Amino acid sequence: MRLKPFEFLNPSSLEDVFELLVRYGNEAKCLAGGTDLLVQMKQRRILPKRLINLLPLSELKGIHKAEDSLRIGALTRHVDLERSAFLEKGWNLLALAATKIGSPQIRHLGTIGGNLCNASPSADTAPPLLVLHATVCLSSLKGNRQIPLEAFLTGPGQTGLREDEILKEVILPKPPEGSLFTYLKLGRRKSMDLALVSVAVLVTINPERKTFEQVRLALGSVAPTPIRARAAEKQLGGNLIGEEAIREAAETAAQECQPMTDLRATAEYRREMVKVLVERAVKQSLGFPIPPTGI
Amino acid sequence: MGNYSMIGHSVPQIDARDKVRGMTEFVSDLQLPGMLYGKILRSSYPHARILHIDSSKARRLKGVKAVVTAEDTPRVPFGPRTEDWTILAVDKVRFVGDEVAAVAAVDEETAEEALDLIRVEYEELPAVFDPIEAMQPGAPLIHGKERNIVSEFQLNKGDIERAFQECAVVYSAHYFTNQVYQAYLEPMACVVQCDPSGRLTFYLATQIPSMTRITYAKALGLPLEKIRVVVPPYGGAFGAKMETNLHLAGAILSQKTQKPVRMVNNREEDFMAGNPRVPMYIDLKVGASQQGKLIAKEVKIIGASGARAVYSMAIVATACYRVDSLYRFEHLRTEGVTVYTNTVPTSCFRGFGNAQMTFALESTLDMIAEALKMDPAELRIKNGLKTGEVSIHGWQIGSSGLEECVQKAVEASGWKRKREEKRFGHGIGLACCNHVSGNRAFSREFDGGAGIVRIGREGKVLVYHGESDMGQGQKTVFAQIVAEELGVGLDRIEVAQVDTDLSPFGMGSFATRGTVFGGNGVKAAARHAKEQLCEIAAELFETVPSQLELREGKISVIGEPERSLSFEKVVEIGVLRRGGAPIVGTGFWVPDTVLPDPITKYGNISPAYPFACQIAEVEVDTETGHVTVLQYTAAHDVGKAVNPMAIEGQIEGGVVQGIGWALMENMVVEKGKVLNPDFRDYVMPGPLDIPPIHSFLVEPVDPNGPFGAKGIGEPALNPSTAAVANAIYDAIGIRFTELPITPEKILRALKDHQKNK
Ligand SMILES: Cc1cc2nc3c(=O)[nH]c(=O)nc-3n(C[C@H](O)[C@H](O)[C@H](O)COP(=O)(O)OP(=O)(O)OC[C@H]3O[C@@H](n4cnc5c(N)ncnc54)[C@H](O)[C@@H]3O)c2cc1C
Repeated sequence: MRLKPFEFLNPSSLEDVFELLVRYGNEAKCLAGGTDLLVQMKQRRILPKRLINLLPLSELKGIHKAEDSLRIGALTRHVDLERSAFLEKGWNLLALAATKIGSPQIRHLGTIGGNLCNASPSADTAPPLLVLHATVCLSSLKGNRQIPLEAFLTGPGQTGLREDEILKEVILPKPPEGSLFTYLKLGRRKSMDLALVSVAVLVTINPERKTFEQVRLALGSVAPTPIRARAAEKQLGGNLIGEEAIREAAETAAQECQPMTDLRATAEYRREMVKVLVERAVKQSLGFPIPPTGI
Repeated sequence: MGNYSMIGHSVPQIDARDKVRGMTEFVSDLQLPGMLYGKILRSSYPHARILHIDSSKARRLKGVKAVVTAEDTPRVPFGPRTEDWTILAVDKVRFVGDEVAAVAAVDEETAEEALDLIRVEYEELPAVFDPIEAMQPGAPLIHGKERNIVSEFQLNKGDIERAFQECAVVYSAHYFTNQVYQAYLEPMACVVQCDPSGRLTFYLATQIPSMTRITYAKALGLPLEKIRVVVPPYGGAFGAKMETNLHLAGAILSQKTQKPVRMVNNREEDFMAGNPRVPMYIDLKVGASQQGKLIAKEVKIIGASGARAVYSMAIVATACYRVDSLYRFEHLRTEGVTVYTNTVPTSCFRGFGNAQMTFALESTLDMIAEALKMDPAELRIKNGLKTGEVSIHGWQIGSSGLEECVQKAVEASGWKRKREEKRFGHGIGLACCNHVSGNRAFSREFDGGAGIVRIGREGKVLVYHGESDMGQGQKTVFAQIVAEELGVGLDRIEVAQVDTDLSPFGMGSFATRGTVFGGNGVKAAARHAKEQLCEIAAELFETVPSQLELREGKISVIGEPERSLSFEKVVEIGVLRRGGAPIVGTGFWVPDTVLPDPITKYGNISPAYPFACQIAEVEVDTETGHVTVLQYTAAHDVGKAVNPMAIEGQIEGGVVQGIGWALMENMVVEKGKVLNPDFRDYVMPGPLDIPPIHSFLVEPVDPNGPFGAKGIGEPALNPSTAAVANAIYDAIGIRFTELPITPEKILRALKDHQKNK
């Protein structure tokens, strides 16, 4: 299907963007990489009369490091995340997830802001950002406001973004010293697929006492939004590291998610896979051998 | 034999450079002056009566040049085999995607907008989607016939009851092969131009230009000479691109507007109204002796043709009996039924039914080998037909490299060692296949191939054929064959695009026939041109033609290299002496194949039979159910390999397609609607899902193929699903009889298996 006609607006500053948003409200949509938006327009799932092109706005680009946080502009592309030297230590989890998105072509167009604003339950940057305790900075004529990512993602395709706002940047606090982490994504094939289930894990451990300290787990594609698996986290935090404990926590994670049946997989399969993937992810982050999930 | 300058040399396809640089104009890129863009309004109901169509609003839309419905068409039933098509739906629609109306407009956007403005009032009718239900008395009738049966196939030989009683092992199972989509790069497309005399030129992506022309003449009520078919480069087909209503709707629109009209399916339309694979239920029972001699085979197949028969009955027939010429069965009972359903018409897809049946048979043979405690490879070798044998259906096996294929694949894959080193989750599986190079049962009018070679004053050799290069490399093979005959380089050769005004009447590209039929045709034409060149040169050298040879761009007296002239020089002298007439060689080749007997199906249907053995090695993740294919070995008997590189390309492509079908590809159809008509949810393997594929060519010189060559297109895929299924069985001990073998199915089966322990 072809795109239906629309007006293409090319603002030259953030202020222009805000004014256009106020003027056109829900008739307009912001355009970043367009890898979600244009597909939806072609499929006639949404038919905005106007597109506001964000791409020229340098204020929304780049990764900036402050003393103890990282600010990632909304227009930062997945390929920029993959390659950024700033994404080191725990932050590297985000880069790891970015490598698993779509194809090289998609990663050269798609942005972190688009991924979050599109708010798919399977958005690959979301689980890592959740465990990295990301907040998002939303911006409008009225100024900026910051909310935790977890509060921003409210449902499939739904966010806390007001009609007059854009997502300006994503802010990441410093991850805990000694963070161990990984991101596992299960698709129907080994690349170029949306996650059936994805798991981001970030843990710290006490090597002397052989216990978990902090445990953060997030799951993708198994609830209306990407979610934290808090019950499972709690089960492990502070406790002795052991295969049995990990397996039990994985079981808990499988119970606390709310997967759906769709074309890609049944709810039962997804739930089962949460168990498998959480177990594997925690083990992998600790350096235990796991079978090559490979997907 | 041997010592060829062209044959057997790996050369890149002659059109590859243009393609990879994006220079090739495919059908959907064609632009003609004044061209309009056509779109089809498709049914969103699987079965409904059309009460009324109101296209007045669409007609009034600015930029719309024509809106047509069945009223604007001849409304004669037609079809390549059974006459159950009309160009646009008359009175009722029979599947979601059925063509109801068509629009031509100044651009595609306007045409699409106009579709939204056409109002169709439908009265929904009860619909039936599964062939077993559709067969039952009382099922909703899809065509005016008493039952939804398209055709029935029966074939019995020997004494099946007694034979099974005498078998030491009998294995029966119920298989299902699902509906998959060919997923060529370029969706179906055409440009149709009506000239002032009413003559139509079709620029088509079609595998069968000459046959299409005949079908379309009937559909349009025109004499054959009023239709010209031209085949520009097009983006793949894999069997799907034969006749399609898209082309005919384009013709009607062009007649109406007197403008060229381009029609291109979008991907969704291509899924819902293309020609996917015939899904089949296959009940198969096979028996063998204690020594592993295959004795009896009983099969019952039910295939779903969808809402039009297209070629489905021939595909079911092929599934019914082609494998009987792979092994030496003695007793057969065969029943095949092809049934209408309210789903997209299904048709040809690489393998033509033999791929479906090979999945069932080769899965079954592994179970028999296991019961006999016999190496599955040995079972195949023991029963496989050999050179010089005549099969139970009268197929004359002029050459068979089957045994060598099995040996090569076994050796190269580490089969023996890997079968012994049992580890749960890891497995290796093998499957074989046979095929045809051209199928007389399908080419009913005649069997043969022809070519024309035209050499102009400048010495450029233009080769005309009537087949169809859909990207498989046919042009390159024809160029190599002609270059070999004429002793010139490939740079001298140009292969003309098929144009029914100029090209020979070719049957087209199906049944893996291009190399053998088209190749023999152009070879004969090149021979004829060569004879003429030798006559010209003989006069110049004052010798006889038989004393001359054509090599390395020169025509020389044999044994006297100093008496030689360049190819171009001889051509130039010849053309000038003949009043400017080009050197034109025409030639044809007719094999001694026969139409099989209508009852017994006895008769040699193909001049050359290719064989293959493929081995897959897999790792099954028993927690996620995912299968990783680790290594793939494919040994193919291709006769003399004209272009080994192109053949390896075909093998790799076939294996990839087979792995996709085995593990993930599936058209999900619910109440007649395809739920995944896009590449997001119609998953196919990506580069990371594909293992290293090790290809081996086994090259017995076939007595009939050009230079001993046989076909490769379809056998490349035939055994792949069974090889993967057999490897999964070896890995986890579970036999899967339904495609695709998805992670969820595997996991569920593993759980059931554990429970039952
Ligand atoms: C073939 C293919 C494969 C894909 N594979 C994956 C995958 O593996 N994993 C995955 O997570 N995603 C995948 N995607 C989806 C998509 O590429 C990503 O979600 C991408 O990050 C979207 O970013 P974008 O810049 O293209 O967003 P756009 O399409 O430009 O925008 C998406 C939405 O966000 C809004 N928006 C964008 N930026 C802002 C902003 N700064 N402020 C306010 N609103 C904004 C837009 O208005 C729109 O509603 C795939 C897409 C395709 C086509």
